[in-house]
Amino acid sequence: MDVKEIARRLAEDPWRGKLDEVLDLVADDYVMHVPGAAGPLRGRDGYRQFITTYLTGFPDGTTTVDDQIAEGEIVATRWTGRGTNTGELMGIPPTGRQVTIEGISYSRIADGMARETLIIWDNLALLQQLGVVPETVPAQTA
Amino acid sequence: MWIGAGTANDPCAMFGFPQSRFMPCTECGASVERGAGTHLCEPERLVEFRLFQLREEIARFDEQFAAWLATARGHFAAWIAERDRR
Repeated sequence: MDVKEIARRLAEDPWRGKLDEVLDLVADDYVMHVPGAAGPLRGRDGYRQFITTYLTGFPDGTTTVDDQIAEGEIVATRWTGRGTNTGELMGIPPTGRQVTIEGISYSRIADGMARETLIIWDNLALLQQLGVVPETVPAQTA
Repeated sequence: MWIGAGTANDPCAMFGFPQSRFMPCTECGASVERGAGTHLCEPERLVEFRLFQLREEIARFDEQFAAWLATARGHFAAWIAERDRR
């Protein structure tokens, strides 16, 4: 499995019910840098915690890889996340709203295992779509 | 078109407060891309969104209804309804 495929599986497969399988690709000393977090998440438990947080908020969530670039051990993965907010997310009550979020993960993968990831996404857009920062789009009913 | 590209003629895209490329429809909650044209709410999505917003009221109604069914009047009403159904 090449580095792009590993990165793709890390991005997409947890949202397909394959979290346990994906954890086999996460190294014991894995470090994940997440925007807004007090510190990095570490190891398989850290990765599981991150995924579980967002799976709880978006039980039907999916992530689609849009593009990847790799050089050596480094992979940049551009992705789009979609989901319906039917669960609590970081203290925010569920809204029932569907969200679409774009982001990039920058991973170091060595010896077939993910070692480190910097994940960046449009947090402001997420908060706007959840209504924490108010913003709406007029609608027309068919 | 490259990612996240707004229209070149939209000054807000470059100089205004950042706005999400996607926003949920206020009526049905579906994710709608800005500038993608007219959004028409799907009826099923409308119902799902409305039901979700009313979920606590629905849960309270279910509890109250179950409690009423357990009363003598509730038992009788259920009996009458079943008789009429047959």
